[in-house]
Order: sequence, then structure tokens, then C-alpha cells
Amino acid sequence: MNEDNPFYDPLRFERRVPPCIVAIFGANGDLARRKLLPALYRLAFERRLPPGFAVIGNSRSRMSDDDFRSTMRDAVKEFLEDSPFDESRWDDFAQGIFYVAGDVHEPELYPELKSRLADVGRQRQTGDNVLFYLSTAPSLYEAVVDRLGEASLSRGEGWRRIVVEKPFGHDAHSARSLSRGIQHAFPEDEIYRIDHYLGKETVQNILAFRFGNGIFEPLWNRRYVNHVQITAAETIGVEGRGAYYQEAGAIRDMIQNHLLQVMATVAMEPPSAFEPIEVRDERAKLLRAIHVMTPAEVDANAVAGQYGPARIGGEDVPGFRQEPGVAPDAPTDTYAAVTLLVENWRWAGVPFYLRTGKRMPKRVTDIAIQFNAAPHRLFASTDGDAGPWLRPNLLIVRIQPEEGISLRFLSKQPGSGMKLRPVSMDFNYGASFGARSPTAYETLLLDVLAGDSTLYTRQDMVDASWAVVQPILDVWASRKFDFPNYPAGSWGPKAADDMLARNGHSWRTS
Amino acid sequence: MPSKIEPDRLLRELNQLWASLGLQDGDASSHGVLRACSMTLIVVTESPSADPSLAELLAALMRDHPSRAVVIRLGAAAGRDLAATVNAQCWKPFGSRQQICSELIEITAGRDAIPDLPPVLRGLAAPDLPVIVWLHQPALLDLPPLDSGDKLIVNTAGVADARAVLARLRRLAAGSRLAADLSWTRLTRWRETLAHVFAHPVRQSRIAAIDQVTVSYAGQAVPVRALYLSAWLQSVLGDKPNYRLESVPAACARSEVERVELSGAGIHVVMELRDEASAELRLDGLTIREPFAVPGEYELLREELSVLGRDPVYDTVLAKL
Repeated sequence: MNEDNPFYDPLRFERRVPPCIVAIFGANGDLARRKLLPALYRLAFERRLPPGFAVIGNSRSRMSDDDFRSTMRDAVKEFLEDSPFDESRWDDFAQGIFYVAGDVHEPELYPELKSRLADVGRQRQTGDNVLFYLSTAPSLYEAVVDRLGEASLSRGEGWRRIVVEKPFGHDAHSARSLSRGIQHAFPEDEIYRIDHYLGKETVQNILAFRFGNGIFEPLWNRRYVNHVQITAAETIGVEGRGAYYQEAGAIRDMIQNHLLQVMATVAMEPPSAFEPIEVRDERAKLLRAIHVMTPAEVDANAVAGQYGPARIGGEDVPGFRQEPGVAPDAPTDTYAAVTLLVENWRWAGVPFYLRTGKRMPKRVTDIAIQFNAAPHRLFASTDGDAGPWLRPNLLIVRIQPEEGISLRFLSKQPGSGMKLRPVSMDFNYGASFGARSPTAYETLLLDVLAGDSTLYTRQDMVDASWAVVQPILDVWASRKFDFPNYPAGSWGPKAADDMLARNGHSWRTS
Repeated sequence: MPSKIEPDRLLRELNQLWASLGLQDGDASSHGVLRACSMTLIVVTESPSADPSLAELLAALMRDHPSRAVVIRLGAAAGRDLAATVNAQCWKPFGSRQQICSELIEITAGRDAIPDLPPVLRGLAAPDLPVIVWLHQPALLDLPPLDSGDKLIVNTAGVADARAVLARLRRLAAGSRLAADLSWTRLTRWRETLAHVFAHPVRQSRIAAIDQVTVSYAGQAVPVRALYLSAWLQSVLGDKPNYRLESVPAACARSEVERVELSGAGIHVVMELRDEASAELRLDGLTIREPFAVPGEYELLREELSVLGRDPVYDTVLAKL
């Protein structure tokens, strides 16, 4: 660790990681090509990786080390974000890329992998530290982990870690079963369940904003906060993932993991230290404090939607049921909105509205914290009825497409009289700090290689998230919805507006 | 009667400038300009105002460290004349609707006007934010000290009498102002790479066996950078190893330190500059080429402006010299 290294200078040095090998299952797949290899290359470009770092890719395709390097080179060139591709740096990085072909179900793959790990480890002096990355279809997770355990690959002289991509199960039962399988081979503290939302700069900045400043935290409670809206809207449809998506749906795909983790970050108690255990304990406590709906409560507090066809910008957009690979009567939710309540002293009675949907008017992910109005409307006689514009003090944490924070407050309009108008004070990451922000995968890969699990999800958090979502899924499974119930390009079904209206609230238009 | 400058008037001009920028930005639905400031950066330079490189450097720095920049251009002639102009550097980040602007105050001063500057600078500093002074050229170290700012950044690259300059920096660092030297900043990558080499547990366990340390430099006189690196290694490894400084031919134009070698029973580490963009690491039989771009002024300043407090490692190294 850095702390034991007398050469280490925490003030000046970028965090780098110990020597190791990253073994990627599903290395020829979309995730590896689009996200993992570009992120690893970028880390190498920024000199965050150690001398002798190595990658061993695995997939079923037969190819040589050089073939794999060439495929990955093309992928990195294509998918590298906000940064140039440097041939000479790639050549240096590619010296440490290797490949082992084989089907993850076949037992003979694992002795070969073991032998390759040993060879590459010796050649690159990686100290027997290995990170296994499951970039395969989720249905293969248990098979890979079982075989890694059987082949004694989950233990070594150095550390052995494993990264698991979501979904962490299809429901509460399968999540626990998957977890038991992985924990059979790897101890819980070496299992890294990745939720890339937590790697985004702004989501991390919520912690800095809340706990690094003295002025916000006193307001961060039921006394001052009226309600919270968390929105994750996409303009795209299922983009060729129809077959997968119709089994998953919006609430499983987004709310069970990403949005509940974001909500936990917004609402958790201050940890006693910025250490993985303390931060994750607080996130887990918050998730466990979310009220679990009874079946009778679901209809009033959860709305499912599915988009239908529409004409947007002169183009005909198909409905979900017309997408390739989707059944013509698919009951899948492509939109989900829920009202959640947190049962603790800080948040009692404050609604947290979470919504996510495909084919929305705008691609946006943000968190809006609506503060209470001033107790007395001093300027009512001159304001007139400016409606929602005079709802004061909205704090917006923007996660994408632009990361930043805005605070809306009221100000006197210049001139005679006392007319108020809302103004926005913006902090924009890209503008305030010109330096490029790392992608979520760069952040999270660096973390796992450094053994920092702060931004990773623990099994008790997964269990708590499923506990919140499962009753909704159970009720929805017994319903026959009249889908589609919102046209592509709109902000979702009317029922979602009604859900907020019952509390005297309305969705922001982001 | 020498000409003078009034901070109040300059600040008023700045406010007027901001108001006009806001109006220029467009219609009622405009997002206006964002006035960003995290520090006051005072740059003392002998470069003529026609020199575009300093302006470009400051514009680039503003994106990482939005600042009120005060550039003091010292004329070649003696005299106490002072004159000032205000300006703003604006940019619109790609895809953003909002323009970001930082302030630039340019003061031209005769050589004898330096003692008159501190009160002016105090009036011009952005309130409640750190004030950093950067002496752009090494020769400015010979001028009477500018008694302003929380931190002074100098550049000792190429100075003739390294030991004398270091003694001055030591005196400065012993006071309440922070001192920084871009020659030290230039070593961050060397130090970081070495730290990474010793992150390996086997090599870490052999640190105590190191008994020979050689720092090789280009040129005849020992550069400050080589002295810093050797002193840093001594602060890490203690007095047991034999420390040697040797002159070797330069691998690239901008380097001063060329090579460092650490050896002892069971350990042999060599880090050597190959060219402008790479270094070679030889680690007990393993040879690795590392991307190792020699940093320019922008990278050095960007790093140094990020360190607003004391740098205990630098202080230790400076005290050893």
C-alpha cells in the first residue's frame, strides 16, 4: 500500500495502483471494448498504472495475443472519450495485453488461465495480484466463479479480487443466490459490485458538497427540504437490447441499482470517516430505512409506463412493442416512477420521487432538492401570481449530460418596485475546472485496483435495494397494464403526474 | 512626478467590464457570464507585452485555476512609473451555453517601482482567497523581494549559483510565506515513478539494502534539480547509501536530470531519460519504457497552484541542502 512506501508523496502524486493483472472474462464483448479497455488505456496514458501492469482477455473466439491487441486497439481508438489516441503510448500499453481463448463453461480453460497468469505474472512482475472482471452475460457469473474457486484461482500469494457488473440478480431471491455463489469462492471484501453511477464525478461530489461544507448539512433534513426528485431520462429506446430489456424493465434496470444508490448518497448520514466501511455502512443504513411498501400501497406510490409510437422531429419512432426482439404484447415497464419515504428522524415525511424512462424528451440525469418556501410571503402583493417560478431554493445536482450543481434562489428584479425573479447560481464541472474529468469506469477501475471499495456496492446494500423494489415488482406482475401509456418523446404517463399532484407537487421538466 | 495606479479605479473598471460582458452575451434568455475566481495570481515578468506565450499560458491556467491574474511587466529601464489596464479572458466551454471569464490586470512598472507595488497588490487581490506570486524568470530572483502574497513560486532552472539561490529559498521558507520552486515541481514525475517502482512489495522489502545512489545530470554545473533529487533520496533512504552526482551528456534539450540509479544487494533500479517523451526503467532484469513527457510551464504551474498549503516533503529537502 502507498502508506508503507517511503517514496510516496500524497500531496503531489496521483494515486496509482500496485502491480497486478486484470483478467477480463467476456473480453471481446461490448462492455470490454466500449468501456473497460478505453478506461485502462486512459489510466495507462495518465501514468496511473504500474510498470508491468497486464491484461489477460478471455472469450470464446480463437485469436492470438496480437489479434486481441489489434482488436482492442481498434476499440480503444473508437470509444476513447475526450482524449487523444497516442500510438506510442498504446504500443507500450499493448506489451502487457495477452489473451486466452476458451468457453467459461469448459473446465480446461481454468488450468490454462492459471498457467498464463503465472507466466505473465513472472514476466511482468505483478506480484500475483489478480483482478477478475466479469464482463460476460449475467447468466455466466455463477459458472465462472464456481470454476475459479474449483481451480484455486480465487486464492493466491497476492490479492485476488472480482468485479461483478449489474444486474445483481433478477429479483431478491436470485440476488441472494448469486451472492452466495460468489461468496463461496471470494470473501465479501474482495467482491466489487460495480455501479458506474457511483463513479461519476458529480455523485462523488455530493459527498464533498454535503460533508466538506458547513452550510448545507444543517439544511439537509425534513425541516427545510420539501421533497427530492431524482430523474434519469433517456431519449433513446432499447437500441437493439429489446430481448434483454423486456425481461428487465425500467425499475430493475435503473431504480433497483443506480437511482437507489444515488438516493442513498443524497440522504445518508455523515460517515465518521471517509473510509470504505464507514461510507458503505451509512449508505446501507439509509437503504434499509426506506419504507417497504405493502401491496396496498404500491398503486398509489409506483407508476409503470411503456412508450408507444410517435413522430419526433419529423421521424417516426416505434413504440416499445414494435422494437426488434420485443414481443408484441410485452408487459415491460420502460418507465417507472416511485415515491419513497425514509423512515428516520432526518427524513420522516419527505417524499423522494424517483423516475426513469426511455424515449423521454431529453437525456438528463439529475437530483433536485426542493427546499421549503419562506414561512411568510412578504412580497405577495408585488409578486402577483408567478406560480412555480416563485418556488424558492431549488438545489439541482446535475449528473449528465453536463455535470454540475445549480442553486436557484429569488432575487429582486432591477428597477422600481419589489418584483422577485428566480436566478440560478451554477457550478459546472467542465467550466469551473477545465481539466478533463475521468470517466466513471476509470475512477472505479482505479479504485478496485487500489483496493478501495467506497464506491462499490456491498451485498447488504443489494439486499436492501431489492427489499424496496420487490413488493412493487410483485404487484406489477399481477397487474395487466394498458400499455403503451405514454407516447415516445413525452415525460411519461399521466399517472406519474397524478402521483405527485396528490402531495401538492409536480415533476420538474428538467 | 511618476505616474501611479489606483486599485479602486481598476476595480471599478473591472466591474464595468463585467457588466459590459454580461450585456454582450445576448438576449434575455442568455445564461450570462460566469465570474470564476479561486485565487489571485500575480505574475512578475520581464517579457514584453507583445509576447503572446505568457498570455496563452495564463489563459490555459485559468481553466484549471480560475483566478484574478495580475501581470506585472517590469521594464528594462530604471524609474518608478506605473501604469495599469484591466481585461477579461473569456471562453465558452464546448457545448456550454455559458461564457466563463477570468480577470486580468496588467501593470507595467519601472525597475525602481517594486517597493511601491505591495500596497497596490493588496488592494487588487480578490478578497478572502489565496494570493500566489510567480517570478516568471530566474533572473527576477536577483531583484529586491516583492513583499506580497501567501506563496512565492520561483524557477531556478539554469541559475548559475544553485547553492546561493537555495540558501535564499531556505530563508524564505523559514518565514510565514510559502516558497515553491518549479525545479522541484519538475521532479514530481521522477519521484512518482520511483515511488511506483517501490510499491512492489519485493522491492519495498529491499529498500534497506540500497547502498549506492547515483544521480546523473546534463551540463557542467550541478543543476538545482539534481541537488533536489539527491536530497530527496537521502530523506527517504537515510545516510547509509553512498550518494553521487555525475555529469553525463543530455538526452533531450529540456532535461537537467538524466538518470538515477539505486543499487544494493538484491536490488538494482535504473531510471533513465530516453528522449523528450519517454524514460526507460530497468528493474532487476525487466525493462519498461514509460511515457515521460518533460513538463512545460503550464503543467508545472497547474500542479504548483494546486498546492496551497505547506509542502512538507519540499521543506525537508530544502532544509537538507
